[in-house]
Amino acid sequence: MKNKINPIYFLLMLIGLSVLVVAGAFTITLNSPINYANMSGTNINFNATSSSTVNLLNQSLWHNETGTFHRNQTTLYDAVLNVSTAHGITDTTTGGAFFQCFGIELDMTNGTRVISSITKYAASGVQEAYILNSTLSPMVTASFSGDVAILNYTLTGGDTYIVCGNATSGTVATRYVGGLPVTGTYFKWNRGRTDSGYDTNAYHIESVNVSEDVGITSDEEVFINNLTSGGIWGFEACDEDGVCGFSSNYTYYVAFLENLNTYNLSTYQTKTETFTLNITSTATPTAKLYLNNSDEGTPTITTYGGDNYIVNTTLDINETWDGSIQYYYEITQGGTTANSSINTVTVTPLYLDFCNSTLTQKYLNLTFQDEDLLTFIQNHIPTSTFYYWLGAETNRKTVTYTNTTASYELNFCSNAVNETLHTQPYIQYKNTTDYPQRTYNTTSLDLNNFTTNLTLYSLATADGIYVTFQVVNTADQVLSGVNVNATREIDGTDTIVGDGVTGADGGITFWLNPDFSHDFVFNKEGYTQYSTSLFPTQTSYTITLGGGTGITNSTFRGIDYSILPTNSYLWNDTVYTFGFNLTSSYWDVTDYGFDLRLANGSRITGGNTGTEGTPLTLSYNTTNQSIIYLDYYWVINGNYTNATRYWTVQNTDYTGWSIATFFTDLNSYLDTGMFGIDNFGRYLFAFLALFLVVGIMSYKYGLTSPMAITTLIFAIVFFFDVVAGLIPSIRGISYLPTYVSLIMLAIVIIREVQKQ
Amino acid sequence: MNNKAQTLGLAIVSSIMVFIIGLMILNFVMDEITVARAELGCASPATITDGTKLLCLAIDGTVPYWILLILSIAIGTITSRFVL
Repeated sequence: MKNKINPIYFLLMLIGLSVLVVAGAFTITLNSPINYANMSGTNINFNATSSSTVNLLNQSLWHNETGTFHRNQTTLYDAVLNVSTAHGITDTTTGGAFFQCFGIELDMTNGTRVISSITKYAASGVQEAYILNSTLSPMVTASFSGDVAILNYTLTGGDTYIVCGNATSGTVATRYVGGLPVTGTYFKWNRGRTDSGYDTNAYHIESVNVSEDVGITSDEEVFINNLTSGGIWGFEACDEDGVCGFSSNYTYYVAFLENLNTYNLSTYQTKTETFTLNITSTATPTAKLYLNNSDEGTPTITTYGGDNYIVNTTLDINETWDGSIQYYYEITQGGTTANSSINTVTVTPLYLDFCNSTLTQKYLNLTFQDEDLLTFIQNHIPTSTFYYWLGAETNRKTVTYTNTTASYELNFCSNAVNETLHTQPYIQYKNTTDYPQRTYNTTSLDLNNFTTNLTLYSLATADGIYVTFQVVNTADQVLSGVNVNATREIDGTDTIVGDGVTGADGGITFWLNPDFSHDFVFNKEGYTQYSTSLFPTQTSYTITLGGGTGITNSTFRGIDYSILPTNSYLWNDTVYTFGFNLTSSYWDVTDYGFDLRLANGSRITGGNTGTEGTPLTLSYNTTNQSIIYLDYYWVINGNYTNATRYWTVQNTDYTGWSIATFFTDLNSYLDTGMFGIDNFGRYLFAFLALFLVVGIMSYKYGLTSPMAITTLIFAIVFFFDVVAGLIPSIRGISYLPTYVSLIMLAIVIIREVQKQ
Repeated sequence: MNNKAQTLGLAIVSSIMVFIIGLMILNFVMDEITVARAELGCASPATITDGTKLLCLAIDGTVPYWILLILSIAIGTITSRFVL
């Protein structure tokens, strides 16, 4: 029987084929998020690109977050408008004296449209372009520069506009030749989107025929959504013929929900900021903070009931950051990782400087007074250094000022409005002719909007003497880094007249008045503070700071050192970094260093230094040495202390004959396919060896009990698999045969025990 | 001292001698093994024939087998005295 095509089937095929052709006119590619993406539920960017052979009319996002797959958002590619010609409009507001406008009327029924520019073509006599509103008032006017007039005006829905030029005549005899415009004036403008080069719409004027020349056939669209649960999403696109296409659907998961982001939108350099994110997550999360895509560490995470967590990071704003910085949290929960939304913080540079036209908020006012007469005097500042910061001192800025012109006062301003500015000033001030130099050096001076008035006292040349204080410990070692301040009563107030830190020689010098009693305080961490009152009539004093009870003079006291390398032995012909580093919390170490010593007694100089905490290193090749000694020493107050560390050098020439070499070579040879042996061959050999050994042991020595045979099997398998590495991994699982034989052995042992 | 104790002492001394002489001989062999492996290219399995690989494996096993041999002889010398 001859087969015949059923006409109905044929018709259905044609319909199906036509549907495929129409559907095939669209290409819709879902760009992001990827299929099965895990995301934060906040600010999800759904991104897709749609293309069509016909101009696109719109793109829409669909998803089923509400339970029903529905259209969520739509973008129209063109404002909905009606176009009609509008010839010869005369401006009524100026009685016709202003211009005559020849153009088109646009009735904006929906959407917005940005007309960025109008282009005239060919040899048009138009000199200016206008957009008029419904009352014929010009909204924007632009002159043509060449063929283009820049307008940048947005037409809004519900209004009527007239886009026109100041043509003197509205008649053009010929507009089209073969369907293409050739002469006359017509305008084109952007279709409401300025990010694409092709989205241009053109309307002819000076002609009854108004037509659209250019449309959009391909575009990428982004819709931003906040979603609370996962689901599926897709894109729909429709063209101007009313035909619509649909993408395939992607699945997405909402890993966590962002309830609240708490942070300061703006901050200053050196300030300590807190970035808090309140999330809802079904599993306990871990997080990382990324700031400008740099990992800034792990935040603290606390729970506050249910599935709610607070992710919190306190961070010092770096002194070098400037402008916008972006941060987000990378949240990992339930084995998946997703990022929170990106937030932007504006960092303002922090300044502390002489007040000027741009820095006007006065924070510190410095004046100078004669210590005895209490008259205001002029001083200049040979040098000064200010450390200043808002948050942690470790994250501070530094600035140096010099003022060579003597003045009665100096004002310092800052831009840190409503902030407490922590400073650590070091100011040297003097009057070259009458007042010797003094130093103001305090460890902490807090400033704010309310100007801090600071009076620095100077002592006249005829009234003072230089007094040096030498600070030592109980072992008569000079102590550097001791904070010293000298105070005397001036005008009824205890005033610091000398402040500083002892140098490497343990000394500090003040310019003081010997006629008045001064209070002195000496302080260094780890030592007992020392205070005294005296008339500074001598040029030098020695101060001994006690370090508490139980002080011994051991040269090891407070010494902490490290030696490199940390290996317990070395290999020959290998370059190692040998090193020695030393710090001391008690003694002032004047010198320390190390040398390398070889077995034949020759020495290689390693280095030495007098600066504690300086790592001394030396790269040295062990060549064929058998042992290397590192002799290290340190010197305290002329006392020499030394010790030695040594390493034996293993020679690789003597490690090449072991049984391991045999199996290493065997493995590599089998890997290269020796005698055509592949993995199956390995299994076969292992099985044969197992079979033969167990068989021989059973036959020859009567090992027939299950426990003995299973133990033997385990031992052989273990040797081939783990020790020799001859059995390849099975399905990526290493040592699987060993595990299996071990389980078998365990089962047999348990059974034997149960039988007893 | 009885005869059996004297025999055991002699066996221990003999086994130590065998062990020391065996290790001394091994010292001469080891350098030759290194030279042989280098000459044969045993460390480059991709460039040598299967026969050469077999030879390399035999050479690799020389030292372990030799040590096994001298240990067997040394221990056997002692333990044989306990066999009635």
